[in-house]
Amino acid sequence: MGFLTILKKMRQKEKEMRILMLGLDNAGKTTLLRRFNGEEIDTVAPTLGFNIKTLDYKGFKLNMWDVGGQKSLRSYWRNYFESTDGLIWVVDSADKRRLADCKKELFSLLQEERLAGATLLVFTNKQDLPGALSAEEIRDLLELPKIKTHHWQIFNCSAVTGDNLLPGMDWLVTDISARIFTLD
Amino acid sequence: MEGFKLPDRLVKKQAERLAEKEQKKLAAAETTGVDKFIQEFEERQKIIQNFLKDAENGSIDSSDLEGHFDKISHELTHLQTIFSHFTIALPQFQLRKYQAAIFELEEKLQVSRDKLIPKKKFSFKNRKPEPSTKNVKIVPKDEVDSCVSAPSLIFANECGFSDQQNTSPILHGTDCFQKDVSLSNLSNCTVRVYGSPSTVHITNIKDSTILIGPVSTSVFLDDCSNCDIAVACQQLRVHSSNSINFYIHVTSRCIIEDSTNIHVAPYTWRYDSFDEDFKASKLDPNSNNWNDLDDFNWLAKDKASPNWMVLSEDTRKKLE
Repeated sequence: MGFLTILKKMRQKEKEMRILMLGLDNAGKTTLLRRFNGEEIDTVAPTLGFNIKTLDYKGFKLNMWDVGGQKSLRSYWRNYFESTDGLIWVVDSADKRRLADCKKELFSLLQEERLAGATLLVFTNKQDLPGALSAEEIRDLLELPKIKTHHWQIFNCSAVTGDNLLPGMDWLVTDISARIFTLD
Repeated sequence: MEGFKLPDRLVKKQAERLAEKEQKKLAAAETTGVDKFIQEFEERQKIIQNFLKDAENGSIDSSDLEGHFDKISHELTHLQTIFSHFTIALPQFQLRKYQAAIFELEEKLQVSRDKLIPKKKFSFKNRKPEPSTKNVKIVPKDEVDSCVSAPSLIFANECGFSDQQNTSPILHGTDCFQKDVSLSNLSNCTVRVYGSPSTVHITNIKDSTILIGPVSTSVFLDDCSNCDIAVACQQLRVHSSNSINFYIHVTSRCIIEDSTNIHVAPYTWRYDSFDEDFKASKLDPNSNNWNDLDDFNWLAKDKASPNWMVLSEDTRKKLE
């Protein structure tokens, strides 16, 4: 039994995944997290610091970290990279003027060594807004097909209505479990 | 008793092994004979040497050289096979002699092959395009390209004013309902936005008054100074601005970042269709956190941020 197998077995016993949610401010990270957890979302305020929620999902224990996206907080993101299994990048689909910022921050994250093994799920949030761009448009504008270093997928969603959240999470959890847990 | 069995078995096994070896030797000597082997070995050795000579003195056409060398190495392999069959039957001296002979042939073959057929240079011809794709990974130019590539698509849902001085532009409800309103590069202006837009971006505005109806989601303020701003919204985000008097209705939270001298007061602007617009924006009229700001540059919780304070009642303006 190799070292990797032993590690995998250990993780399997815990059935735990660490998922980090990042994105520019006002992308809807906290709303998304609250929606997952079945909490009310009307009082969501810009996150000063971070939120952690532990969810049980399909037999896995998901430790979800939601870190504030304000410019002044982005330099602290690095403190949350360690042992991250999945990265959820949340995009405000209606915020067209900051897509360049959004792309820059995402690609600089992907260069991080400590996130090298993480699966990337991009949520194009706020699809309920009339001016929202679609997942396809954002995929092309962010040039996601250039990402060769991570498994990635992009999903439309609306944290406010709850639309399409589960397909994205399903994909993320399946991809992570195929990678870090042995299939026996 | 058990202790004696093991050595017994070992001794027996050793004897068997020796007998087997002896038998092999005999068999080899009997079937072909060591002499016969020596004869065959030397014949083949000579053939290979001649082949090598042919290659060296240029009697082989250069286009056939590759095949010729392949033939030699094939012969050599065959010689080695014969040799290994007889190693068990050969005395030590002869064993070393033929081993050295094979080694010498191998070396000669290698040397003349290297000399006569120049080695192909190692290259990644087929993979040449790869470095170029790597380089464009995060080139700033591409970011710009990505933004200008589809301008019509991007800003189709926008309206607003920009690059004006000393004017009083007005947006009506029908113009901005559920749209993104953008106000930028204005100075000494009075802007009125009636109705309920989806989002409002306010960028680089100096010495102006901005009055905005109920906004259904967020209002962003960036790089503004010396303004009076009235707005009702869910979230208000203020960046890199100073000396702003806000008259706000915020159902969730107002945050400031890299901003100083911010004053806040409750939202008092009213106009004819205000109540309808407020309903359309789906904001909660009973929830107003106008006097509870988060300063992202002031993380100490026990002390109030020096960057913002409540506007005293006697200095509040009447907004029309």
